[in-house]
Amino acid sequence: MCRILSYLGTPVPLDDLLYAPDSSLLNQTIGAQMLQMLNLAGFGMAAWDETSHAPNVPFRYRTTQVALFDRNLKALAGKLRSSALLAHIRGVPYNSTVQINEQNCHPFRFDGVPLSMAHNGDLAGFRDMRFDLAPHIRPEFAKQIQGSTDSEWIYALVVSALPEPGEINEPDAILAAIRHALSVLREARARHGITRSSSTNLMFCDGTNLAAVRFTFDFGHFDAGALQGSSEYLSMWYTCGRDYGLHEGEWKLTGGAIDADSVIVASEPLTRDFATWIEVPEYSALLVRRDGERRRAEIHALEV
Amino acid sequence: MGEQAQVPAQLAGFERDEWKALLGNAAPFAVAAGDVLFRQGDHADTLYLVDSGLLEIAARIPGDDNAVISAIRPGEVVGEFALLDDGPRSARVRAIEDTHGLAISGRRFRALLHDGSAWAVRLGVALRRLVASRTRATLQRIVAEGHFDPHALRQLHAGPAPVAAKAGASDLANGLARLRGFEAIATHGTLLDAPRGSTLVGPGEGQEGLHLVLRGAVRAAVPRGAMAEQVFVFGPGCFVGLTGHSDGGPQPLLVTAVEDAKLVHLPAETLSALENEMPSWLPLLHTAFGRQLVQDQRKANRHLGRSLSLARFNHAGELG
Repeated sequence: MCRILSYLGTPVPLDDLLYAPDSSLLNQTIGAQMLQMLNLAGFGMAAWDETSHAPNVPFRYRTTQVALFDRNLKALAGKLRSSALLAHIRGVPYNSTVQINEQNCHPFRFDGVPLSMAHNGDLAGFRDMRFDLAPHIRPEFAKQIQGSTDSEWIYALVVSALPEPGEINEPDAILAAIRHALSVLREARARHGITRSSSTNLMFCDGTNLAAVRFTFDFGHFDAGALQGSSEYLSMWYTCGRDYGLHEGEWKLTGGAIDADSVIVASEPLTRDFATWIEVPEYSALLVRRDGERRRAEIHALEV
Repeated sequence: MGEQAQVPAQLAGFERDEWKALLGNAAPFAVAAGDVLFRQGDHADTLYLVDSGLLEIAARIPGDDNAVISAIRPGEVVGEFALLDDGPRSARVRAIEDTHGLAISGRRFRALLHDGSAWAVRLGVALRRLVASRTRATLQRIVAEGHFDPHALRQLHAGPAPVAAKAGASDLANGLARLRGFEAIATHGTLLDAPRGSTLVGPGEGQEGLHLVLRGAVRAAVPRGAMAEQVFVFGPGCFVGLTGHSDGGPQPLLVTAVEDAKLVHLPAETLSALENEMPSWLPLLHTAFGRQLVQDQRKANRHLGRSLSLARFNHAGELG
């Protein structure tokens, strides 16, 4: 299983999000709080800097290395300040059937598409049903699928359902595309008789908007006597505020929700003390959108 | 310790001897006005019975804001999660006035509970009832304050009732981490098939025992007109209806199957009989009840905190 982190707000040094907090994303490689698993199968990020050349295009970095040992990433994170981030560490079953390569590292982002996506979870029976998904994927995106993950196909389904995949879409359009993709998956599962619990915790970011989805198909369905992993709903948490940084010895957003301009969403809180973090509800999406000079955050019910 | 001769109303049900035994296992505590008794996120291992003074409970919410939750007065208790669950403190407690009373160590309580000590068993029942009543109060606040995000509401589905199922409850219970050591509880009720959308209990209906989820999931929600505001999702190994079972009140929420589910209905009569028969796994069942009641209370509080912080976030910069 994987861990994801996304940030949208005033620019902050990447080191402060990826490394500094006591349960930072990279510390979750070997010491996640809410997942009994190591996340050793790669790292990836897309990070937006409004002051950079072509600000709508993110810095991208993906590696199959265990990122904790990656000096290049550490050096980059100390130098970059980002107003938006989508980062992911990949956790996979501990056996040789899994393909570890750069094409399977999240986040995914097709050429010419501003929206990036990272996934935490897995689709049971994906190899049986994946070709049922192909008719719902636009040809220009189908040919860009390079890896072997279920995640990249979910991404292809979502961007194929966007009205203008080459543009920054409104969060409502992104959410509608997500709903459509989940419906396609639900129908394919039904056709193939797949009923095993399958988590699709997803985070999308285009540098302007953020959408985070906490969703599981057939939650709580496992084969008798052969429970797969955890029987708990995969976690997702968020916090909001302003001026993210080290305040009174604690990494946090501060200033009160009423002055907030920044949001962090993550598979689990970045600090061991998660007093200022709140869960994204199950079967729901958190949308963060621009509203003039402000941002709005909304919880949307997801019934698919 | 003279004042503590009276059992606090929140812990009603003690026999005189049991209360005396409890006092024998308690130690005095004192906290000066302005000082913090414990902070949110601290390791928790003590229950406090307040004799005199005034305490304030406050929780931090996103943006590092504080939300005052309630006040604790003489004759009331605070810190009860520590004896039921191994999670950190869920709120900060600060003295508004000089406060003193008695403290009970969680480690001591658990050891004596394991040995079947009568006062510890009685305290466990009283604390579960107390946490359930706090959850009920939080749910009533969620209903009354109505801070919900309209986008978060879902269509209210109230389908047919579950029907009896054939598969073996025992096989379904084996392997569920939440039921480890007391899987046998699943064989003490009726196995039911609850298709997606079926209704288990309606709000305000009387509580008749508990449901135990073995497969699939169940949603508990506050009805909002033709829509519903989801508060809890219960998956495999969770009990449904613990609030009402523990405090004796009616079911406060609408409970429906959110996925096709297999459930065991445990009638109230069966649960009472188990208390008398005292199977070897009964303490594990009580521990699981306590832990889930605390988790439900934490979840209800987070639901309230989420609604409050989103409302503040989305009104940032507005005049008024």
